[in-house]
Order: sequence, then C-alpha cells, then structure tokens
Amino acid sequence: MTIAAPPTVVLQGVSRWFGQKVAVSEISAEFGPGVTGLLGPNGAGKTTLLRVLTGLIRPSEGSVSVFGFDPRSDHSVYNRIALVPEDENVYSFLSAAEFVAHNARLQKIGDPVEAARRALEMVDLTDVADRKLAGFSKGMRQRAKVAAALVHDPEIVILDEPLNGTDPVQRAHLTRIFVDMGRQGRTVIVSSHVLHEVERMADRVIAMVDGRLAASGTVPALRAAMSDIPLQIRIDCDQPRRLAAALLENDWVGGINVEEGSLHIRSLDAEQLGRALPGLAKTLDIRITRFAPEDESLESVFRYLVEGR
Amino acid sequence: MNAHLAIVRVTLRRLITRKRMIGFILFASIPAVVVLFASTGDRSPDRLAELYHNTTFAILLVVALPVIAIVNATGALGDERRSHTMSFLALKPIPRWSIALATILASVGATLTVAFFAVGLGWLVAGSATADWGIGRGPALAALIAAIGYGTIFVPIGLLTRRATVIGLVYLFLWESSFANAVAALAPTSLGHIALQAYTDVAPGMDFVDSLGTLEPDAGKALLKVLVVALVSLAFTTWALHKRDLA
Repeated sequence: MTIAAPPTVVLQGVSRWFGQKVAVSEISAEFGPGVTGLLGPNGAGKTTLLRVLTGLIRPSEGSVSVFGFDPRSDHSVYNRIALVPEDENVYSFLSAAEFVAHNARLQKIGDPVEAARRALEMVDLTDVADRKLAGFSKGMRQRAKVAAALVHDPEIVILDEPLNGTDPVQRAHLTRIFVDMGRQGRTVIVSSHVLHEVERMADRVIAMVDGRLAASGTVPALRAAMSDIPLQIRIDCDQPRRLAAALLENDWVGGINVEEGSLHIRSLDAEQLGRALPGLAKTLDIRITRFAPEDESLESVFRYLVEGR
Repeated sequence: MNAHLAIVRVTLRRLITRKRMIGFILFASIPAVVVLFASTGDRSPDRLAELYHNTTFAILLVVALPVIAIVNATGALGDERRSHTMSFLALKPIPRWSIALATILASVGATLTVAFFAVGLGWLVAGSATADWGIGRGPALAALIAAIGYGTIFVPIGLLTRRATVIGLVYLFLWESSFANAVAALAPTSLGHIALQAYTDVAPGMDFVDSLGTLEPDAGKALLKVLVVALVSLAFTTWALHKRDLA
C-alpha cells in the first residue's frame, strides 16, 4: 500500500518465521500520518509484524525503516515511537502513576511526574493513579499502558489490540484519543481482529491472513471487496424444498443444500437475497423462522480475499 | 533520577519482594542461628569461631548465596521476557549497554541485600560470642565476590533461555560442587572457589583451605577475576539485547 504523505514506517519484503512456522510472509507496506488499521483474524501474524516493526524481534528477511532508521540498530528512534503491547502484563508492583512516570524517565523527560499526571488524565485514570496495577481490571491496565505509551508525546503510536478488555465507554474514549492523534498528523497503527472496531478509527486498512497481506486500502474499498464474497446462508422454514426451487431461478444463487426444515444457500449476492426473500416467502406462503449467515467470520472473509488474489 | 537508575530501582523492586526476601534471609541466616545456639553452651571462643567459619562456608557460601544469586540474576532480564514486559524496557532511547548494566547492578544489589542481613547477623553473633570483631571480614568479602560473580554471569543466560535457573543450579551442584571439587585443576573455573580464594586470604588457617585446588589464597586476584567475569557478562548481555529477539 502506498500513501500520499511521506511514509514514516516502511516495510520491505518483511518475513519472519519461527522454525518451520511462517508467522509473517513477504509483507511490503508503508505507513504515514493518520490512523491505519491492521486487520486480521487471531493468528494472522499481526502481533509478530508489529514486533518486527518496532524492533522487538528481527525480521528473518526484509527490512524495516522507521523515520529512515532501522529500529534494531538505532535506538534513538524510540523517543519518537511507542508501542502498546497486546499482553496484559505490566509491572503490577507499581502504581499507575509510578508505572507511567517510570516510562517517562526512560524517555528522559524533564518532569516525569507531571508528564505521567497528564498522560493518566488523558486516559481517565487520575482517580486511581496511586493504586497498584495489580488491582486493576484488564481495561484499566490497557489504559495505563496507553498512558505509558503516550507519556513522551510520540510521533508514531503502535497499538496491538488496544481495545481488548475495555468496556463500551472506555472503548469510545480510547477510540476518540486514537482518532485525534491521527488527525494531529501522527502515524497511528492499530491492530484488531474486529472490523467495525478498526472502521471507527482507521482511514486505511491493511488486512492480514496467515501472515500474508490479504488486502489494503481505504475502509470503503475493503468493504466493497468484501460485499462480492459469496456467503453461505442458512434459512429455517416450513417448506424448504418449495423455497429452494423458487430461489434457484435467480442467478445470484450459487447452489442450495436442502435439509429437513432448513436450506443452506450459497449466495453470490447476499444483499439481493435479503431483498428478495421476504417477497418470495409472502407469495409462496412460506414461514421463515431463521435467516443467518453461516460463515461471516472475519477469518472466512479474509480467506476469500487471500484465495481470490 | 535518570533512566539508568530508574531501571535499577524498578528491577530491584521486582526482585526484592517481601515473601522472597524473608525466605532468602531465613535460608542465608542458618549459620548465624547455628552459632547463636552453640554460643549458649560451653564451647570455647576458638571452637565457636571454627563453627562459624565452617557453617558460613558450607551453608552460606556454597549453597545459599549462589542459589539466591542465580534466582535473582536469571530473573533480572529473564522475567521481563517471560512476562512480556520487555517492550516497556527495550523500546526506549537507551543504549543497550546501559540496560544491561542497570539490570546487572539490580541483580547483584538484590543478592547483596540478602547477604548484608545474613552476613551481618552472623558477624554480630560470632563477634559477640568470640569477642573477635574481625571475624566477619572473610565471609563478607567472599559474599561480595559470590554475589558479583553469580549475580552477573546468569543475567544474560536468563535472557537467552527459559531454563536459565535450572542451568544455573546444574552448574552449581554438578560443576562447582562436584567436578571443581574433585579435580583440583578445575577450581579456577568455579566462582565458589574464587570466593573462597578471597575468604582464606582474609581469614587464614581455615579447614577448608584444602578445597582451593590449584588456587592460592589471594583476595586481590579473586576480586580481579570476578570483575573480569562481570565485564564479560556485561558485554554478553549487551550483545544479547542487540542481537536476540526480545519478545
């Protein structure tokens, strides 16, 4: 994926394998100002890619450039970059204020205590700043990690599943923070396996499956690509054979399996099916009790994208 | 407080937990307790001094301090990796040698904290029982050398493998306690023997001088050797932080 603004992070042919297992395979991508969503099902290689990108682990092949430097050899880039790791673990023996101030000290900030106070305020943790992280909920820990990452005002923020464990109010709050950071011209990379989560904050999306780049582009473009995907849909009704015969007359139906009391339809256009079905049911006097996609998981959608490339 | 001290402080807080410290200090204070009980009897000051030196050597220096130092050293960076908190340490604009030095200092510091209590208590008990207040110099110097030696060499191993503590204990009980004792020429490869080299120099005439193998009592050489070990460990840890995966 190439973007208009100068890229801050460039990946060129990055692969990473662990023994026989290929976690990331030949990924080339550029990231620049704004929010980019890194989307993919669990096990797609998102976390590995982010670890390679930050220099936590080496690429087996390819190169990573952050502001033109390799983060594994030039550690000065770390005062312009921050990672919120997916792992829940933090220094649980520290209070939130101590934890964030510690990160500020390691970033060599002049007044780490004041910087920590500001960062905790940003994530709404001021009231519990002096409580030990050991007693924090998953969502609160997540916010403490975000505060620790933002304490030095980084230009690149990398967030690995940052909304995990957060409640809807916290999620909305954090989403707003990430969107604002993107609008301020920072490079924000957010990984998630939930499409609508990414959709709310990202201008661009990179989709990964099985360690490979499955799709990339704007969210509407990705949505459009996904709408072309054939879907397996189950319909429970009182006259499945009659309904199947009527549906087969349409060219957007790829095939139908009829079982006792239900149909399994391979639809080439789910939207058309959704529009036509109520009318058909009414005309034929068929009672429909269930209409459900059988394979609408992100993974199956991504698999289609990968296989369709 | 600068970044370097911040790492030392947080690593020390992680290593020095209350439960762990109580356990370690009780373990390391066994020689002091033995001498305390013995001093209530009618043993002569010379016999008490001999008992103090023998129990300090056999329990504190051969077993307790090395085990405590290995646990602390392997956890100094290893725990960061195992508990997936390494990104909070490694993704910072800090030279790798500085991270390595800070964690090594914390590892040695955590072990010296235990040694301070254990040796101090033993010194106090033995000193008051024998009226010889110089009696604790040997154990104190040997504990310092052991803490630096074991406390540095196992820091990079903790970063490289999850089995670092097991490796450390195997080294301790197989190499140091068996091979290096059985084969005199192997004594210079044993950190315990190097600590003993200093001990016997400061507190001459001990029974265990025979355990030195090819080494001669010499505190200066022992200190020099352990400082070389520390420098090699620092270089190795810095290399590992540069070259190895940190997550």
